[in-house]
Amino acid sequence: MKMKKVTALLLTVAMAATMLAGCGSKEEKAEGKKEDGKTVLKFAAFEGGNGAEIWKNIEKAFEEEHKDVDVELHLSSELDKDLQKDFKNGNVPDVVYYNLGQESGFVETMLKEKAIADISDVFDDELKGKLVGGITENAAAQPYGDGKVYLAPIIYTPTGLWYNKDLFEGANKKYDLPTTWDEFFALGDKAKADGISLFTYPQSGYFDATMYQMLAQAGGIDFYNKAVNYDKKTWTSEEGKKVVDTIAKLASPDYIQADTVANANSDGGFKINQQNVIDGKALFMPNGNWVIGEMANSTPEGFNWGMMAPPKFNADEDNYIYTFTEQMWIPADAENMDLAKEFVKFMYSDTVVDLMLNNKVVNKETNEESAAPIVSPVLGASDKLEDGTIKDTYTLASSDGYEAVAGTWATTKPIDGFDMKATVYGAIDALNTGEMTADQYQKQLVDAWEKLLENVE
Amino acid sequence: MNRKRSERRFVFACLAPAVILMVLFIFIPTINVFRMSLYRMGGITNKQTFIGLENFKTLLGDKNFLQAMQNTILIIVLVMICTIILAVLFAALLNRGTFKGKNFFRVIFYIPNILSIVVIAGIFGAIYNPSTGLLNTFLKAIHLDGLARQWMAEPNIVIYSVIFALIWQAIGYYMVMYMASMAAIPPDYYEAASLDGATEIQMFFKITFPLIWSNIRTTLTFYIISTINLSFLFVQIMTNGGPNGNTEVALNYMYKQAYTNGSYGYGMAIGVVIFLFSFILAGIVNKITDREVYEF
Repeated sequence: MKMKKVTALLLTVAMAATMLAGCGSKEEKAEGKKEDGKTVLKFAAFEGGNGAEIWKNIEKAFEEEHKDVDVELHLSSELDKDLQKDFKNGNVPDVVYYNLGQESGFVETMLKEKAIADISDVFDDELKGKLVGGITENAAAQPYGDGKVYLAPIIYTPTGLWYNKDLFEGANKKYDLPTTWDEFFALGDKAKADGISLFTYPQSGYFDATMYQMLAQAGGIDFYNKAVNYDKKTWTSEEGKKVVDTIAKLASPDYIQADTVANANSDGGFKINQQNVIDGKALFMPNGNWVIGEMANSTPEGFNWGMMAPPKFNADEDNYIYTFTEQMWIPADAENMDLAKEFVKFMYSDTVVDLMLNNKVVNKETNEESAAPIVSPVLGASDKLEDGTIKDTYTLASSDGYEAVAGTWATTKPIDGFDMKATVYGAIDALNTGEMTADQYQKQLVDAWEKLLENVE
Repeated sequence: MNRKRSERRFVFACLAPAVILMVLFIFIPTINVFRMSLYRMGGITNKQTFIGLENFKTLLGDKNFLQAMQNTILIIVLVMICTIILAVLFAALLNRGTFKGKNFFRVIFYIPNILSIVVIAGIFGAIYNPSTGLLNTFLKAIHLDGLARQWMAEPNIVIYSVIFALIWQAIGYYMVMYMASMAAIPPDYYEAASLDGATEIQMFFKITFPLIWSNIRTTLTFYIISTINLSFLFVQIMTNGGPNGNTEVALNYMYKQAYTNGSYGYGMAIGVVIFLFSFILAGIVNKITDREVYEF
C-alpha cells in the first residue's frame, strides 16, 4: 500500500520536473566564438519567393572569403515569429534579411522601437558609386529621414502595371498601350465594349507601389518626398487631389473587374485576381516581376507578360517607375557589429551579384528547377540578365524619359488604434463597393496624415 | 491521525501537477496581460514605459475597435440563436424521428466540427466565389440570377457570410450534446403523453425542452467563449477583417494591433476588455437563464 503511494508520488514529481525542464532555456554558447576559435556570425534570412538556396550559397561564399568566420544561417518562412522569440530571449542575430512591407510589419515595428543599427558607414563613397542612383537616399533605406542609412537595399525590382503583351503587340494586337490616364480610361471604355475589364488588383495592399508612383508622377520628386513625410497639404493640394480622384475613378465598378474585391478578401483569392489578367478578364494589374514565378503553374504556354509604367497625368511629363527594394539590416543589439557590416558590404560584391543573378528555385509541386534571377542594385547587374520580360522591366526603368522613385512612408512612433495599410489601401476596396466616396477617402487621408505628422520623431 | 496526514499529503501531491500547470500557463499569463495593458511597448524588444490607464482611454475613442466590438457582438448573438434553434431541432429529429439513416446524419452533421478551420475556409471560399462558386452557380442554374451576390465583398453581406460558416461549423457539436441529454429522458414520459393525445410538437415543448434546459444553459456559456475564439480564427483566414473592416472582430483587431502595428501594450488592453466582456456576458446570461431545474 505504502509502496503504491510512494510510486505515485515519485511519478507526479517526475511529471512536474519534466514539465518545468521543458520551460528552461538551452545552455548559452560562449560569446560569439566557437571552440575552434572561429567567430560565429548569426544570419537570419526570410525564405520567400527567392528560395532557400541563394542564402546557403551566400553563406558559403562569405565563409570562403573569411576563413575565421562561421556563418550560422537561420532560414525560415515565418522569420518574424522566430525572431520575436529570439529577441525576447536575448538571442539576437547579427544580421537579418527581412524586408519592409511584410504582412507582419516586423521591420516597421523594429524601427518604431529604434532597435535597428545605423549602418551609414557601410555606404562609403566607393560603394555608393557602385550602386544604382538614389537607392539609399529614400525612406526605405533612411527610415527616419535623418540622412543615416539603417536598411541596406540588397534587391531591387521595378514595379508597374502588368498585362498580356500579345494584346498590345505583335500579330494579335488588339489595343494600343495607353500613356496617359485619359488614354487609359478611354481604353477601359473600349475594352468594356469587348467584355473585358480595364483593371484588377490582387489585394488592395498592391496599391502601395502604384500610389508612391502616382504621387511622384503628379508632383515630382519633391512633392513625393514631402508626401511620404506626411506634409500637411499632401492630400488637399492639387496634386494630391489628382491622385485621390484617379484612384477613386480607377477603383469604381466601371473599370474594376467585378470579382476583384471578393477575391482580394478571400483566402488565397489574390491569385484568382492575377489569373484574371492571364485569362483575359482584366487588362492590367499592379505588380512586380515575382508574379511570373508565382503564376507559372497556371500560365498557359506561349503567354507573354508585359509591364508598363503607370500612366502619366499629362503627355509631356517624364514617366516615373517605382522600384521596390528588399532590405538587410543589423539589430542594434547585434554582438558582432563590425563583422555584420562586413557581411552587408559583401552583398554588393561581384561574387554575390553573380550568385543572385544565377539563382534558381525548385518548384515544390513539380520539383522542376527554374531560373529565378535576383537583381542587386549594383550598376550593370541587370544588364547581365537573360533577354526577356524581366530584363525588359529593368531596361524600361533605366531608359530615357523614365525616372526611378523608391522609398516608403516615413517611420513614426507607434500610433495605438491606427492601421496604416487599412487606412490608405484598405479603403480602396470600399471605394469599389460604394461604401466610401472619393471625398470621404480624401478626408480619411487628410486626418491620417495629420495624426502621422504629430507622431514623426 | 498519521494516516489522515499522509492521505492529505498524497492528495496534495496528486493535485500539484495540475495546479502548477494552471498557475504557470493560465494564471500568470492572465495577470501578465493585465499588467502589460498598463504599458506602452512594441512587443519585440523588452523596452516598456508605464502609462497607467492611457491605453484604455485611447480605446474608448477608437472607432475601429468599436466597429470590431460591434461585429463581435452581432456574431455572438446570431451564432448563438441560430445554432441553438438548429442544433435542438436536429437533435430532436434524430432522437425522436422515425426514419432511416439516423446514424448517417449524425455523422454528417458532426463532420464540420472535426475539419480544421483552414479546410473550412477553403470550402467556403469555393462556395462564395463570385463566378465559379457553388452558391452563385446554383442560383443561376435555377434562374434566380438576381439573387447572386458578391458574398465576400458587399459591405452589408460579408459579415453574414462569415456568420453562416460559423453556424455551419458549430451545429454538429452542440447537436451531439443536446442529443445526449435527450437520450437520458425516460421514454415512458413520451408514451404517457402520447396516450393523452399530445402531438410531437407539444411533447417537444412540454417534455424535451424543459428537461434539457440545464444542458442548454451550460452551452450558452460555451457559445460566448467559443464564438469569440472561433470568430477570430474564421475571420483571420477567411477575410482578415476586410473589406474595409467590415468583418473585423475584436480578437483579430487585438492581434493586428499587438503584432503588426507595434502597439503591444494597446493590444493587451484590448485583450483585457475582451476578457472582462466575455466574463461579464457569461455571468449575465447565466443569471437570467436561471430557473428551477426539472428532474426525472
